[in-house]
Amino acid sequence: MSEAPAGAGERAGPEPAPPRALARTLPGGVGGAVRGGLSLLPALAVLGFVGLALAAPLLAPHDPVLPAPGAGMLLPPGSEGFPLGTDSFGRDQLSRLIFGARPLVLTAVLSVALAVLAGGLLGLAAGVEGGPVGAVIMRTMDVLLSFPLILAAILVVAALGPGTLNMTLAIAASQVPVFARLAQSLAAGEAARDYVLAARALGFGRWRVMLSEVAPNVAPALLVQATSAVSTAALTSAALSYLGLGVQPPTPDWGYMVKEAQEFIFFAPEQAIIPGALIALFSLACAFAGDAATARMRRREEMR
Amino acid sequence: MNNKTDPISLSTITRREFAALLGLGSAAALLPRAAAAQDGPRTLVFALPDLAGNLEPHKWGGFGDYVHVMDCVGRGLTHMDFSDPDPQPAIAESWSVSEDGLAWDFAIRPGLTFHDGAPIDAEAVHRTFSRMLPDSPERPEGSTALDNLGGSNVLGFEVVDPMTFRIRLAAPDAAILGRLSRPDMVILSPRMLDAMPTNFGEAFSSCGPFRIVSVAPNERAVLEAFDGFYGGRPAIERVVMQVLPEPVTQLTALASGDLHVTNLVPHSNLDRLAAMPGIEVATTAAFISVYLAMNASAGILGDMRVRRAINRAIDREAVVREAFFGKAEVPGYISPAAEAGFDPSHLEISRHDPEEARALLEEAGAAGATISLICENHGFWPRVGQVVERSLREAGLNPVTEYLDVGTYNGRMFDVEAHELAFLQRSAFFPDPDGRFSPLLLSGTTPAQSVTAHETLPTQPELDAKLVAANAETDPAARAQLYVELNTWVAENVLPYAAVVNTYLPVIVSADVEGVNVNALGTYRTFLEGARFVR
Repeated sequence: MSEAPAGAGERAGPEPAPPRALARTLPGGVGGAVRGGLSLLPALAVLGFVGLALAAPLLAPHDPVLPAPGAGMLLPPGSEGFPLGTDSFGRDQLSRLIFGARPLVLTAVLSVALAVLAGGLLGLAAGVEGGPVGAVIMRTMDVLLSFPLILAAILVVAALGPGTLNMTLAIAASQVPVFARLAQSLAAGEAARDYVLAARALGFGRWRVMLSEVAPNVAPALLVQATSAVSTAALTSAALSYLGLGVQPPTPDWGYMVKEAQEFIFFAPEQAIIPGALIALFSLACAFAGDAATARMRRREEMR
Repeated sequence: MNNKTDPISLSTITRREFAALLGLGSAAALLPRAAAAQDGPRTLVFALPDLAGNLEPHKWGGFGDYVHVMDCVGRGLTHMDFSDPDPQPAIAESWSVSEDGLAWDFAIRPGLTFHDGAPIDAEAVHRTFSRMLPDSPERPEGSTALDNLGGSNVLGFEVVDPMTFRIRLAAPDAAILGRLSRPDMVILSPRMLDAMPTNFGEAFSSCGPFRIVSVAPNERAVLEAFDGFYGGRPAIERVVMQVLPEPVTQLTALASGDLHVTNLVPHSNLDRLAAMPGIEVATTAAFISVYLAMNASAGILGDMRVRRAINRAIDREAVVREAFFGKAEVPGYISPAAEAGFDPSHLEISRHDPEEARALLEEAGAAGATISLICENHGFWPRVGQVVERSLREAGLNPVTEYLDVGTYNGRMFDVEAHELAFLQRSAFFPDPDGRFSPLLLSGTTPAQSVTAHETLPTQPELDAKLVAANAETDPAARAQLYVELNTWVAENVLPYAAVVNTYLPVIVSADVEGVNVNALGTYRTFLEGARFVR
């Protein structure tokens, strides 16, 4: 028999009081509302970024690609007519930052959507079918998963060539195994349940069982995972653009803006810091939104 | 046992100890140059953009380590120090040329040895040059050395006597002494060639002022002073050529004193660096030219009017301002202002006139045409690419620009089927107009065949004749005038290139060091034998 670990006795005492967070100190209804509001903040931030990307042509005061007429190069923030200054080509930095949201948000969301679709289908097939088909699919996914995400994306872009579309495909391809594994594990569990066995007994075909019976029960978990994956995809997108493999200049992109501005870091640091901070904010917002969605799904599971 | 008295044991390490070790490890990793500088004699640290490390001079792969390391460890028959327009004696102490200009005899400096102790004589020199020849069993695959020496104009090499080496030519070449000073013309030790026929790495043995101590590809090359150098042992005992490709790293290393000499910092930082104590910024003549190569075999570029339109479209003032922060100059044509062959009238060739460009495109029926432009994705290239793309768009073309890594870029640029417009850089490895003209324009050269494909144009026989005649002229004034005329003739009749900009590499030297050949460094050549620490 093993000895009790040192200090174990201390834990036998009364439970320490939980931290008195602001929301917990408020009356029940108000606290719940604050907690709900706080958990909504990341989602609202993500929606804000999406709105920024969609409304960029309406919000940007200048052309993001051409130098602003009469503007100097590397004007500091607060310059007249240019609240965030100009870049090294004399282009309005605010307009470039607003338009720069587009490639990041678009590639992150689109690539994850593609990965959910492809990975989800492969995982479903492997989970429901099992046997040699499932083994081949999942071992292939294991091989793909053994590559670091960014390395897999770089390999795909290197094969396809740089550009926004290829970068989206690359990120999607690198994320497919993540969703395939999740879908497979969930689908394998569902496949053994009574409703699936009943559907099979009724003579439903394998595709019908997979898509109309199993998929609806797997989808919520995949969607929750997807919200977190958008954060990773955004960082990968920014990294690929920073490496010159993603969005091509002069199209504004936060990742490329950091790369382009790094040589000015000692005398115009805001040129790199602001787009870098926006990448971090978007990624954090997606990650927190994913965490909130996961927590909400757990609560629902517990209530079932 | 008290774990806290146990010296660093991974099984018992605390988080705090781990964090401290991690911090120390990181600091140590960040300071390789400082550590290097504290080992033994004082070390001069020089920044490299990359280091392939095979050190095979006959497989010229561009700039990078080939120029910098080769210039420090190798030496050829002649030497160009860029303070004098004429090449100086190096391994050859003197030379003579036959009356017809077709045979050059080089008297080898007596008493010299290679770094490995093998004697330098005419046989050793002959062995180095013979491995350039296409039928040589020792020729490295992909060797470009013979092209750089004159290509088909070189008929052969001979040993006249034990200390005299001869080069035979098909036509006179007044630039041959300059060509022999190129970094890929260094003399190689026969002992090394016996032991290792190619890709020498740490075994590299030539006769330059420094010899190789160690080479770690893509990391650093360590060199030490060579006693047997014909110019005497360098004052600097040890040189570390450290790979520092990122501008921010270079700037940080300069500020901390971990880097002594570099020609890699971005032009955008020059004014700030000039105001910094402890370092000196040197600006040199603008020998580095950027050209836009127009592939005459690709679609609309076969039409001279389109090539003229593109030439008129480029806003060179904007390139100087936006890509080089004013540290460059608007070009004339092939010859930069710092080199013989330039005339102020050439500035008209590169005049920016978008109206004329649009009219020419309309006349050629190419207005609105889509055209592909490829550009490297590092250094100043993306900035140049963006300005040129914008210029072409303003003139009424629809350029599609691809920014590529250097390997992919070179693969595409040298494949005539894989590009339309591409940038090409030429530097003065020796400041003679033919150092640019023949390699860019003569039939049979890679650019004429694969980059611009202009050798298929009907003007090529006349162009070849003019190039050969100009290069045969030995009188400096007459030679310069021939190249002045050649610049104009090529622009008016062939125009395979549009000149984009002329610039230089800003040279940054620590105030601790004197005697660095900044004129050479401004055009990629790296001669550190005169350098010494002064404090």
